[in-house]
Amino acid sequence: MTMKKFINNPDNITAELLEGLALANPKILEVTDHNLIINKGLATADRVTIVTIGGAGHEPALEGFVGEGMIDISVVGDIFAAPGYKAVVEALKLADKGKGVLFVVLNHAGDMLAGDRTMKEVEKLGLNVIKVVTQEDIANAPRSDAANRRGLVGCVPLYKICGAAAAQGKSLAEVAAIAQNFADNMATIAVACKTATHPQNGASFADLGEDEMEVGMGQHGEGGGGRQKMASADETAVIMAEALVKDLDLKAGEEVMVIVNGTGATTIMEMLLVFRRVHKYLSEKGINIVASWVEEVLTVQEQAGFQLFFARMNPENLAYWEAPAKTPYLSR
Amino acid sequence: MLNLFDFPIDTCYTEHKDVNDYGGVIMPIEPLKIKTLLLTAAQEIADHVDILTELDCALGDGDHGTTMKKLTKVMFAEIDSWDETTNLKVGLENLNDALEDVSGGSAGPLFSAFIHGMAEAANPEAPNSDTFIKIILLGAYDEFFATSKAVVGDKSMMDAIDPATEVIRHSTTDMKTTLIKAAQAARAGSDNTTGMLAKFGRARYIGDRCLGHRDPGSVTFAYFYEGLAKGYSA
Repeated sequence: MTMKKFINNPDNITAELLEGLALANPKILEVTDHNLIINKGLATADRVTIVTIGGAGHEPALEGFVGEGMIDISVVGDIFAAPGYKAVVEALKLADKGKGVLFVVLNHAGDMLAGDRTMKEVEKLGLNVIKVVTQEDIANAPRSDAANRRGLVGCVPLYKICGAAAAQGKSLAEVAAIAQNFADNMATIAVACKTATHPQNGASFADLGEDEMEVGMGQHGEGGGGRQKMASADETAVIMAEALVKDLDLKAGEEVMVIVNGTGATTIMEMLLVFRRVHKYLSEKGINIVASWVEEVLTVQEQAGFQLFFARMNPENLAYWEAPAKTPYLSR
Repeated sequence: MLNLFDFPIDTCYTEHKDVNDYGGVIMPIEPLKIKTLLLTAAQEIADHVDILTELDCALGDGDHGTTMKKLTKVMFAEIDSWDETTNLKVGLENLNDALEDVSGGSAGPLFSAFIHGMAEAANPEAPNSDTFIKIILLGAYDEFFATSKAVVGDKSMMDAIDPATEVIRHSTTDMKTTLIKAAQAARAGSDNTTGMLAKFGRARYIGDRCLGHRDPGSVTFAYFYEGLAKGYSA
């Protein structure tokens, strides 16, 4: 298992990358024990706060979006691995400024186990926490079977929207309702054409053939969809956009957010080609793109491919999306 | 708790049926025997992390071996301090506590649940080591099931744990033979996962493509029970 990556001791990757993140963004965030990445604005916050959990190895997500207007504390596990629940409980205690905490969990087995265990402790401690789960991957299960839908890039715009709602002084119940409404109206589909390697052991996740791509890929390189012949940007964009429109039941006249999220080894050039075709596809259907983002947001190491994300928007959510934020990888 | 553990055990068990089974001789639990048992089980897993990683690459995200390496490292560190005076219930509770601190994806909390079940069930007043071993292994199953909700056929750790537990639950023979049979049952259960479709974890997303591969979690527990059998005879 040969691996060509700029790393040091594989056991220390997570600790070192978090240290690097903190050193590069000293005004925005700090890193404490147990891999808690904390918004420096939390110290003086008098509002609902946002806490999330997840493994490392997906940079810039999740911890790269800690800061004012998005995440207050991101509890990072190890590479692709959820953190232990005790660190999460500690984060929720720390984050509670008397107005309650919104706790965002992506639907992956480890994260959900940690999330459920955390909520048991939260009840014992009497903390004011509401948990929202993101599960918007359309590849493996219908909307009615949300338990089998993975959480993909959709958590990131959700942090932005509920972070802005919290910043504007909304109550915990209101912030949770806004987050849940956004979560219920989002959908993602992923594609990969070259798989990645696990940076701690050099193992490659899957064996995609030279001329193959896989639609429905998860965000750890794990598969999950149809393998098919490698297609062009236009063809792939249409396959994916069609699936999302169908899942969300989008109709002419509706407004959407579109994200093309590169998973690590796909160029911005390729992503822009895809976005162009998606834009054309939606325009022809009379669906308006009111917010867009073409970027590496939530990556899977050096996996080549991207996630296409649509969310049905309303004016309230759009205003939250456009509201100020100051994080290492999203600022406005 | 420690006092209770040190309390002369014969006063507690004068009415216990098992006393006669040992000809009236009270055989207390031997912490060092349990220590060897668990350390050997951990070692058996640690010796095979590369295989676990390889299997996880076919089905999941390639980190199961890495996770088990982290978890067994904690086991070595914790269990190493046990001696002949160790209160095993406290020892197991501390072990679980340390395991819960590991960032171990889904295998972490599931493995912790298994050890947590051991700690919960551990009865320091058990009449002898063999009874104690049986009690903790049955307790491990209960907590694991409560956390995972998995059943046989789901292509998960349970495919090894359930058949091994059934052997232990119903065994009428000596513990050495029981553990060897439990290990064989765990291995056979794990091998059976080759033909199963996954209901849990990342493998459930790849559909038919998970056929032909063993579930890495079940393989971990096959090694675990094999390690117990080895450790008992050590």
